[in-house]
Amino acid sequence: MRDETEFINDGAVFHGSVHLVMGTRLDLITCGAPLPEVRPVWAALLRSADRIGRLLDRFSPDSELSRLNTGAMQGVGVSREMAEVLRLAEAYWEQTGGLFDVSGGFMSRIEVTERDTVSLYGHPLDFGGFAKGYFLREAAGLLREAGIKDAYLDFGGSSIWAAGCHPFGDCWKVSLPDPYTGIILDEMALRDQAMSTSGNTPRYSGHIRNPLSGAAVTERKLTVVTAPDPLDAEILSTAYMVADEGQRALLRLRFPKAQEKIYT
Amino acid sequence: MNEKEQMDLGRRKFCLDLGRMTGGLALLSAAPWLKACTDEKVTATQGETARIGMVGTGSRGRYHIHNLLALPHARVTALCDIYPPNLEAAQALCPGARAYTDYRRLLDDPEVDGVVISTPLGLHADMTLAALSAGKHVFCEKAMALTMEQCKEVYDAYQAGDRALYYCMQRMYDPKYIEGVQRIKDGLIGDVVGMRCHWFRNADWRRPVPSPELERLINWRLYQEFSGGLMTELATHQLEVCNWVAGRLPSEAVGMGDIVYWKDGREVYDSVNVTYRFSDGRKIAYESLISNKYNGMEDQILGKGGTVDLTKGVYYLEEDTEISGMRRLMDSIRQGVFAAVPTAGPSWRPEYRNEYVPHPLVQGSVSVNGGQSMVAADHDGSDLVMSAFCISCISGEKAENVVEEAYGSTLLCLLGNQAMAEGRTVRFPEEYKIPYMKF
Repeated sequence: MRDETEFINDGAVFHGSVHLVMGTRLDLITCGAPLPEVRPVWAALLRSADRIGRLLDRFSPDSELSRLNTGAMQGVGVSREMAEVLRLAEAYWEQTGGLFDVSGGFMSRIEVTERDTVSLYGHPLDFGGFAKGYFLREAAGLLREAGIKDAYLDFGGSSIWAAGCHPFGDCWKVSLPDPYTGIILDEMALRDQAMSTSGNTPRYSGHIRNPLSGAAVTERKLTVVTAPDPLDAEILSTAYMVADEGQRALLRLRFPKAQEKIYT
Repeated sequence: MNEKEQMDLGRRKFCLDLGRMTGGLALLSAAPWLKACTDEKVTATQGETARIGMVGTGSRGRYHIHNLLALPHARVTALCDIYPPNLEAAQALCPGARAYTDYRRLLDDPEVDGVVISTPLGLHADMTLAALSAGKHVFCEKAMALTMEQCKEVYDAYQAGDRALYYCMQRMYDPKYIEGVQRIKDGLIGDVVGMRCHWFRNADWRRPVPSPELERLINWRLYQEFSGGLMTELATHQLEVCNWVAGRLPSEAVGMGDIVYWKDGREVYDSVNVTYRFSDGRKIAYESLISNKYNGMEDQILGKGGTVDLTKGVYYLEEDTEISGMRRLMDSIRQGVFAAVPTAGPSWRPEYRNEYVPHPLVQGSVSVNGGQSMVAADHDGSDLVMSAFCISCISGEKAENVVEEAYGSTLLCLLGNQAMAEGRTVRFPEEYKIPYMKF
């Protein structure tokens, strides 16, 4: 990873960016924190992204996930973190009533043993959105531990952690363009909140499938979820893409701190 | 899960699970040859095994054996090679298989349903014709044959018979190519305005020869008696992709070929540049050089709205050069303005668009082949072609358009070689046009 950093406004604002972390780009802006405090946090974020990338990056043939997906798929010993991630993914699968499923509809068949062995039985896993949320959750913790109160962390433009506020405002304002027309659909105020978007675009449609039915979502649709937990936001923006009315009510009940908006 | 169910799951791993790919079953229209190896076809041939005879057990032949050994629906029953060390190496992999030194004897073997031909190009036509005539299904290494005449003879024999014939054009079975071509046809990069393919290596393309009389046998790629050089060995894959994307063939070719660096007695070029022109003026720029590898291997499809590099499974958009969200946010902070950050929306769009940024074509992990190996790359589609072939051996079903695609790309390679040898623009010969082709 080759990162770029810059300081503006007499060093009061830091901006770090790095390309192609888990197939996308990461940007961090911090406000008011002095350079000696920011540098180690940025370095820690990069190490964290690198570690999670080596664990879950579907674009890297060398990641543990890629090796798991293309290997024997039965009784495979995995790292402790991979086993924990799989258990976490299973917990979200249960919480969302099966609407979020990293195995695309086969989670009930996936086995993770107490001895950290995994059997996929031919069903490869995709941690696309999950990985971004998992990283942002850890990154938000790192910023908090370092005492950095005002920060904006953008992972690929569709996953955001907004801590505190903009240097000239009382929150971070985010505008949401319609992917089909470019017209701004909405503007949101984020403060200590994560935001995740999922949906179709004119160039890229049908990539989200309902794990319960296998059907691809091809309609013109965009979901935006804000939540205090970045991983919750990420999981839910995908789940709301495929949820029907009844399932949406269930998601609201189980994730009361999250708020969703669905644009069709 | 019982053993049988586990085996079924294993079998499904060896066909493309279209349901899990972004394009789903729509991909069958972009790659109709996949109809012969869908999940349903795998299920229909459940419990049956293709008995395979290997003709040619050199490094590529043994690569295929390794793929076959991993297939639950295949068994290698016979082996043939005239070079004892290769035959012995294959016997070590398949101890139960019968060994032959004359491929015609292998073709007489009733325990062989299909043959895999991994021999020098100059032998492809005779062996394929003999195998089809013996009632065997055939999987042959690319290119199709050494001359246009031979290609047409094989094509006619295939059309007249009921046996399946496959060529190892593995890009046709590579998920990133299949999905990439579908998305190009769906308009991902707008109108396709040109294509650029190249393959660079820095190696002499030689194998060690234990005794001088074996030079032509082992290093057959370097001699015109057996080989069309870089065009038939490398370009054939890439030109097939261009034809596949364009849905038509170029009508003429012009080029230059030379032996620039490896002046070691070889008869084929080590440097080729060929330009193919379609009837509407679009062009394929093809280049291969084996004394510098900086540029690697790329199959680039150029569109008005962007570029797809199918080799790497990524695309780049022309509009990515616009200014984006994070840059606007930093600019507003510099100016002391509290402005909203325009997000990139649901799918990632690059920041700082003053440079082209790669977007993945396929969701999930992909295998990228750097093109430097002389034998093979892992998971480049070769394993899936072989699996599809074995399914055809069991079902008896021919794969749609596989032979036609191989025929078209091989003829373009030979046309390129002719253009370079004659130093003039050559047109696609009328007598070798087949109904499948559009120009």
